Amino acid sequence: MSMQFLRWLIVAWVAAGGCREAFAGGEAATEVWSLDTMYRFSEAYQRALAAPLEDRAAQYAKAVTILNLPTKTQSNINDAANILTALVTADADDEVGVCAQYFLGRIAQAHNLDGANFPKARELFRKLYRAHPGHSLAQLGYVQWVLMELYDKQSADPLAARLRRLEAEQPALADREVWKNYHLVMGQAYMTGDVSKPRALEHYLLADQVGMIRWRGRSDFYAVIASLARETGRREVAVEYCRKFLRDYPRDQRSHIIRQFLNELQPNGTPP
Amino acid sequence: MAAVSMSGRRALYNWRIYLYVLPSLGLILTFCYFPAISAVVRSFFEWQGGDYMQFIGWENYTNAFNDPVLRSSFVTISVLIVAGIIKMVPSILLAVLIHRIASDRWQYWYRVLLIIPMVVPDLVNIFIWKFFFDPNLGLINASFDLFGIKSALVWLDQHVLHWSAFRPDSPISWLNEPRLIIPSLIFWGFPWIGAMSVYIFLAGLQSIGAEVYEAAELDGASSWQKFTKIEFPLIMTQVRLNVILVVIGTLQGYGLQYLLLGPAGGPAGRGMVPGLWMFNRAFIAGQFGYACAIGMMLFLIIAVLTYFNNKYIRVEK
Amino acid sequence: MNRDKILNTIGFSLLGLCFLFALWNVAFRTVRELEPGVVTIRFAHWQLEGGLRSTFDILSREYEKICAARGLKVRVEQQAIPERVFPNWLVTQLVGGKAPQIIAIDNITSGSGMSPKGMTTDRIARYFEAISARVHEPNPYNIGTPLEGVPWCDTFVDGMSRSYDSNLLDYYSVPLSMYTFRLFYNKPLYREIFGDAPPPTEYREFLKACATITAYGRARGLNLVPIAGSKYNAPMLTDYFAGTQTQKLGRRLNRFNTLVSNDSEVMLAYLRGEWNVRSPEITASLRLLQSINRNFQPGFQQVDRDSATFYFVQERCVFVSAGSWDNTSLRIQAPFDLGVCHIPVPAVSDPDYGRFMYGPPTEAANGTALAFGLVRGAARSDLALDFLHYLSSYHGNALFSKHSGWLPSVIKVPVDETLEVFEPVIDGYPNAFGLGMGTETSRLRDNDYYLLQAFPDSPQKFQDVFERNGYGKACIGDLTSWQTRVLRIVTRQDTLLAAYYERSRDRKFYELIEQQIQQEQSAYMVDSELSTLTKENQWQR
Repeated sequence: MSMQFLRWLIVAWVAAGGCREAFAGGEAATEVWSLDTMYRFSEAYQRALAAPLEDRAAQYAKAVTILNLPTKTQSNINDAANILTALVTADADDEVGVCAQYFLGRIAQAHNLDGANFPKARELFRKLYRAHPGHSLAQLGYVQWVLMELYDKQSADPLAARLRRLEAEQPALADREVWKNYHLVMGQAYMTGDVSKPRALEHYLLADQVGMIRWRGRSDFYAVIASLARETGRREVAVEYCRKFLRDYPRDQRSHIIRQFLNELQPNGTPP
Repeated sequence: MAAVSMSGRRALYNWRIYLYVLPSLGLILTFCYFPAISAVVRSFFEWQGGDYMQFIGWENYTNAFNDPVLRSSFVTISVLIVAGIIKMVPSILLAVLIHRIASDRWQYWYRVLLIIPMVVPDLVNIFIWKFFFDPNLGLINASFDLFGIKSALVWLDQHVLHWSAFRPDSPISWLNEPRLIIPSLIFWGFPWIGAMSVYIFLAGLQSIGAEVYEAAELDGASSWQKFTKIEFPLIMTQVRLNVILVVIGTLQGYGLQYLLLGPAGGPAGRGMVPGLWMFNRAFIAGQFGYACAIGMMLFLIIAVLTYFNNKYIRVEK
Repeated sequence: MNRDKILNTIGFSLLGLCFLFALWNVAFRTVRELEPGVVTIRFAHWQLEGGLRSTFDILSREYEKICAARGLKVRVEQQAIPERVFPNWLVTQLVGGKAPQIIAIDNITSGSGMSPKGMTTDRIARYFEAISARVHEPNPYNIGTPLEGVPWCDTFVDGMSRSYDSNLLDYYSVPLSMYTFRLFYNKPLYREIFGDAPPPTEYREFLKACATITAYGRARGLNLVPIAGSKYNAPMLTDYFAGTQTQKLGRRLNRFNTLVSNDSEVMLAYLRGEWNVRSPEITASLRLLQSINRNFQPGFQQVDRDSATFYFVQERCVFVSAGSWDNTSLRIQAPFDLGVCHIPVPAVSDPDYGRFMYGPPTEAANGTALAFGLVRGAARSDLALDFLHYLSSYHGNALFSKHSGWLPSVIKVPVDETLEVFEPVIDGYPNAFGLGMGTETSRLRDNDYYLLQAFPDSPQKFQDVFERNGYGKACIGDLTSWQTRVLRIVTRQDTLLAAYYERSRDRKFYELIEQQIQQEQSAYMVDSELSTLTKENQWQR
């Protein structure tokens, strides 16, 4: 056997090993996510540890999994943040980079045991949305930014002023579901402290163009819209949502109340 | 295999000895030490009983120090500990009485009579007492009515105590009146004769030689003097042992309070003891980490008490 | 042989015999399991109430026959585990990998993050199989019935909403029953006192009836009280009554227009000063409670469920309040004919209590019970699921209801005429809130409750002590605990969110977003408001 052939054999074997590793790495992320959905975070983490460092998807999966390892310590959170930061530094614009930025924002917003850092989280989400306005997670980050703006305990602005400021933003959220959640957040905020029920209703009606996914959540949603519309004099809307509620939730504990609303709005049973 | 004698130093390096000890040691480590160490670790976490835990440092302990319910539970338990120690007296007296019975046969039968109730599990005992405390059907109220004790208590309440706990028109609610909770917990187990305690004291009494009694009789000692000068001092080791058991048992225990009063400690939380509060925090409030911290505090208190007991309460023979 | 040796021999022989018996029992069981071609389906639960185990045996045999007709040899085994040890048994079985294929699941209470029977979100996610993929398909056992073609989830009275885990976003259990609360009464004794008069349907009639019973007992020197109470039974009645008084208040405090009372909203409203323990509605509910409490046996608060049942079956009381699940147990234990009636709440026209009510309470929120989940990775889980399909089918659930005396969970299932009185009243108004809304507020209420009996003529003493003992602080404690729990759930959802995003970016991903955003907003809202209230120095956090 010639040396040349031997050399090629060695190169081929190493390359095959590398491919095997790469293939195994691509599978790693899938397996990690699969275990995560079963709340088996420890096993998911072990699987992620076996993945190569070059596998960005697996490293991202590892970082996000670390956020929920059974013993939640600041050290773990810092590890996760470091991994995500490294991923962003390497490439901030690919899919993994964008997702990593979202979760860096989430770490600042919700995961740090030392306390939430809303200013940092807001900055991260704002920056992400500006850089990638078309990405679903970036848009979701925008909604998180809105939430933090609305309920910022340090702000001296009254809620009404904050809502006005946010309304002026008119964000273009291409992902319809995220757009729906934006309107739900705004609607709920308008209800807080009775800022403006008509504005809340407008937002809810916009959200219902997409529709609530959760069955139980939808019953509350229809009841809120029906009740708000009735209070604010939007008779047709109230009738429509009373009917929707009774059609989908005939055995709900509010069905009797909604039926009374409908009778009151349609005293002779006539359509509006 | 023939017995081999070896020096202590050599024994340290003999692997066979370790081999024999290893299985038992393994079991003790797994089932005794591991849960305890796990509890220590988890006391530094916010833990709600599942897989998820969040490290919070000393927060559970600082919360425990500032917890008014825990503080008042220690007051309650102190009262119960003192009562528990006083409740040892009937067992000591019975042991002495049995010990002084001249006939061996009768001594034997009294001992058997003591043992028989031990087959009833403690839990059943507590349920039986719960029934005794029942305001409408219970034995205590029926006896009090029959012997006129209730009338006396009503008079006492109206003229001295002013508790409104003893009313002429309604049965006494032993477990529903805050001021009667601690008396009920103390009264539980009347006449407070525990078979194990009597046996422990009896064992101590039987080690007293007959010559000691003979000498006492020669000196003209009365029965009471024999008890105070001979028997009681010579069973102080057993008394001390029982005191330790009573203190530790009472400090740790909460089963009685839980079964009689529920996890909230009864009306006005008067029956709340540290063990019950630990249970409440774990299984009602879901604060398992905090419950572990309470457990650790209890452990430290018991350890300190045991240390002082061993160091300072010496028995001079 | 001397006496000692004989006694020792007897002792050792007894020990040996017991050991051999135990060995035979275990070996025989193992041999049974090894029968070739026979598939064993095991299911476990803690419901030891009368009639239920025999009902499950009947259903198991029916199912075995159905399988035999299909050429399958199936044996169904029931394991009834006592309630007290069920949590420990559950964990041991799941962790040890020896769990039966089907296990009863109860709902996780919001207070502790754990259900009374030891279920947590983690355990459900790890050890139980989600059945979401099946719930929108029709139940195959409903072919030829009025429910043919109806999606499985829509065949349940609550649309299977209780089976849906809002953290895991999946369906995990199949309920077999639902429950309501009623007043049971001793029919012959009632007839003796009242003749042919029907049981009371309204509060004032009920009070009059209780007074008549007391007078009757006194006149004859009988130790007779109107209602058997206990710390278990009494709240079923008193909470029902008291909840009617906060209907209108609850709606006024319902800031978010959901038309149902929300504990966080109510507690924040208390802290804002919008209501307190002396509000007319609360005072009315406490007076109502006291008027009912007077008719329980003295000291009822200290006795438990068994004592109340004992009083009732011993004919020392005429009425007892209990759940529909106790129907069969009470019928078995009572040596007399049992009557059942609805809890007689005040009418809207009542001069003292009517003005705080919209109307009679609805039982639509009662939901389902006796739910079973499929253990993940168990042998022949396909057959286990099939068994659950059978149990929750039109015929299966009807059989269940007929034999157990429990209400069915499936719609349109005909109920026995003895069960008609238990059917939920849908038309009505949601009862609002009581004073115990979370762990701390409930503990405070339980601790001070005795004052309502100690001072039966007025709730004032209770109100004084209750507020002095820190109800506001308890509300803050409960709100803070709730908020912490919600934020913890939200952070856990982040990993799931990433997983769903990467895997399929489908309905589950968006459902999780919807859930997470709403929960986070609620938590922020509560936190913000608590911050404002404590800044204003009204309350200390």
